Amino acid sequence: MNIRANNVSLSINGRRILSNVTLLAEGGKMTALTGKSGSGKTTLLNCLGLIHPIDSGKIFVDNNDVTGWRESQRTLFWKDHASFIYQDYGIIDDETVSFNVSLKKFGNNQGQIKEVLEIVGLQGREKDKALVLSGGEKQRLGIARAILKNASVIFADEPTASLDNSNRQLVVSLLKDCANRGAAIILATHDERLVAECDTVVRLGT
Amino acid sequence: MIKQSIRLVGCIIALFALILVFKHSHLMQEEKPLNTTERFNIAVLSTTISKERLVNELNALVDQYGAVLVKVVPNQDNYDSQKDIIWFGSLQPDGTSPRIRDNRISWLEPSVGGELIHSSDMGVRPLYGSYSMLGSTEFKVALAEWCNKNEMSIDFYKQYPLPAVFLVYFIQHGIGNAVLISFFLFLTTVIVWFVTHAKARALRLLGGVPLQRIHFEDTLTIISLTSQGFFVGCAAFFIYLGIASGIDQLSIMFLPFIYTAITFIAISAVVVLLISLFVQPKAKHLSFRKIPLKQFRLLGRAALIFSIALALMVVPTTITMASAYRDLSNDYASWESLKDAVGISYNDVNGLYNDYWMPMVENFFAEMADRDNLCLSMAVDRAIVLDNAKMGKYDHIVVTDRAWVETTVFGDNSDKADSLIPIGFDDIHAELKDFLSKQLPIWTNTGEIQPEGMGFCEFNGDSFLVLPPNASYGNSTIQAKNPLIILVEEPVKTLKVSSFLLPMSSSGNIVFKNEDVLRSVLNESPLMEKISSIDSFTEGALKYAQLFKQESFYYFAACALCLVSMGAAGIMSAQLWIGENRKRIFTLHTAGIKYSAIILPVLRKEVIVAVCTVLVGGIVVYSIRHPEPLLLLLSSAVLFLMYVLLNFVGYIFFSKREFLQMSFRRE
Repeated sequence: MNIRANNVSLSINGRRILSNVTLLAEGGKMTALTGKSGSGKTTLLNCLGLIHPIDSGKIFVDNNDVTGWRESQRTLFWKDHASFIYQDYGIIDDETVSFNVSLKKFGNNQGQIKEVLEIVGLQGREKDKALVLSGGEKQRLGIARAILKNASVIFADEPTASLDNSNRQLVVSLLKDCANRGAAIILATHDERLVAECDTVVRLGT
Repeated sequence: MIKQSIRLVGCIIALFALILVFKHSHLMQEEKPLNTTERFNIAVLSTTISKERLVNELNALVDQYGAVLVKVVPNQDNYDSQKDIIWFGSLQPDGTSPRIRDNRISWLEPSVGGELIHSSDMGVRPLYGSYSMLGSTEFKVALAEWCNKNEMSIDFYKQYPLPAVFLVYFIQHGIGNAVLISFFLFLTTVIVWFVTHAKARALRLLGGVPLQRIHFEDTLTIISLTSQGFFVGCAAFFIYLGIASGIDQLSIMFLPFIYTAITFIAISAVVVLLISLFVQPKAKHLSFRKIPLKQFRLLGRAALIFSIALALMVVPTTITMASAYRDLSNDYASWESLKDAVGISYNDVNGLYNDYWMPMVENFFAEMADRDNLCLSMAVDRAIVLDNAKMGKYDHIVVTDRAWVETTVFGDNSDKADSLIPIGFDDIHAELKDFLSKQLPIWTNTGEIQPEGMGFCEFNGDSFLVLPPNASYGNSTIQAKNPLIILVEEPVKTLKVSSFLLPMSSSGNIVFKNEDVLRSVLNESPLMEKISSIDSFTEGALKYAQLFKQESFYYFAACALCLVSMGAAGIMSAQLWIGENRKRIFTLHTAGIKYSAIILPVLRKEVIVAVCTVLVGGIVVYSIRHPEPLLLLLSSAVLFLMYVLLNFVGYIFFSKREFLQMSFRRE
């Protein structure tokens, strides 16, 4: 799945956050959105993920103009194609790891959940509350969700922030695996090492 | 926003609290005017002494004991804008409440005036009713003896302590309900203040500010905000009172205002402090980076349950009051046409049943009929207890005449004439026919069941106003919905004077439309010596009409506030849940799950809580207030649906807002 932005602009409370941003995030590739703090990386990520409306410009998913999509269409897009990885608020702390992977209380395929948790290195933690997971484990849990869903596009906000080196490498390698499976990976990051490993780099605020 | 809300609620509380205090002060003015301290009620049982003589004796009694005795009565001509005080004795009472200047009374109630009238000028105003007095125990004993001697009963009203009086106000009265609900709204707003300041409170604790200081400062902040609104509300109230009732009335309200302000601030401070203690920040909350949402949720749930219970208490009563007020308005429209009508009391009705007096009585009724000054109205079923079988489908059996129907039921609306549907005697069901077959020949001149000039009708209008037996003693009127009407065209021609008309006039069921015509006829008749008094009989109905008019307004205000409170509590509950579940909403919605599906589990819980509250609350309200069961059921159903709908809309709205805020990364 390809995500394309054409001249996307956005102001929040009178402050210009994004100004005529144009980019293409292709399936099977990793695209980095980078820049200084406050440059609009996360905001652009949210705009591309259709979470945040834009003031002007257009956003395309596989050449379909999705700029004016209604709430129900966006919800369907998130349900069927997208997955979001946020360290701070992508995980429900008072639910189990298993729930956080499938986001379903009932009708889960436990075998599949175990399988993806094994891929991200969280085997045997199904019944643990997400509250007890470390930052790196939470990031990997987010990736496990994307893998289980077989998401066509993954939006990740600062996936390596506050992670130690080994955790960082593990997360990057998992994201690369997802890209290799054909997903478009869009990352908002200020981690230059991660940026260097991406196929496309969009620098904001320059 | 929350600061403004607290100020606004403070202002609302001030307005309702002062209206309550005002109402109480006004009630005190009416019940214990001119420094009187006690009240009693006199019921005239069967006295044969003339009213003039009784009044003279009462005046003498007051003078003998140096007491003050007054009676507050609504003015017949302007029942909703004038209330007079009748005083007894030879020394005119004085006092500051209500204000009196040149015998003109200025009541606290805006645009209500009146006159100070000596008992010798009380005219047709009846002797029975409520009195206020200031006097010794000896005076009370002498009063009781005097009543006993003159075949009147006297009942002294029990005195209740002020807190008990206000407790009854809060539970039983519209304005009390409004105060209670606005205070509840204040609590809800305060809880929201603590929710929005929970993080800041935790940070202050982390910054080394002692807990006691946090509690003290926050309580002071909230009380200061509330007081600002409270005093604005008070100022608005006093400006209105000054304009509507006059500047000189303000001093009467000043002391009660001081007490109200002190009580409100003291109670609010204690309640706010208790909430602050209940949701105090703790070290463990800091380590989990969480505010004590569990306690807030508990408070929020309690607030919701309380708001539904209050709504259950107020809404059915409001509907009942609205309907009662509508009935009373209709009733008053009828009384309006009869406000000059009077009844007569005899000093020896039994002494009229002889050959000497009876022709004079018959002449008197004939003359009244000729001069179109006589109306007949009585609910037979109240005079003779009839069982359900005899009543059949009818709610009342009424004997009345054309003059009464045209004056009170039809009024100016000739279209209403179609509402009387004539039926044949044989159309009446057997049990009632049997009863009437025995009863009517006793009443009619010819001894027939249905003589000429008498017919039977059913009624298909809204309500048919009827006088109960002993209407002259202040019994409330009857609004019949489905009566059987025994309609007499000319009662004097059709009905026997001895067995029907005379007893009916003695019990107040024959009324005379024009007092002057009645007096002119009686003055030329020896019958005058057998008449003890000529009284208006509308006083009781007019007084109740006044009270209901005021009270129904307050119930509507309480009802509106109740719905606002329920909405506020619902919003608070939604905000608390969303505050606790913001990550869940963001994560689930970005995974393509609809808001309605996200909130479904919590909404299910809310529905269970609402069902339980409505059930328990309904039972409690039924046992306290005894509303109509069907009305309570309907109100409960509507409140339940409104509650669920408000919650659903609130949860969806705040979930969407939270999702958008998180996408902006606004914590």
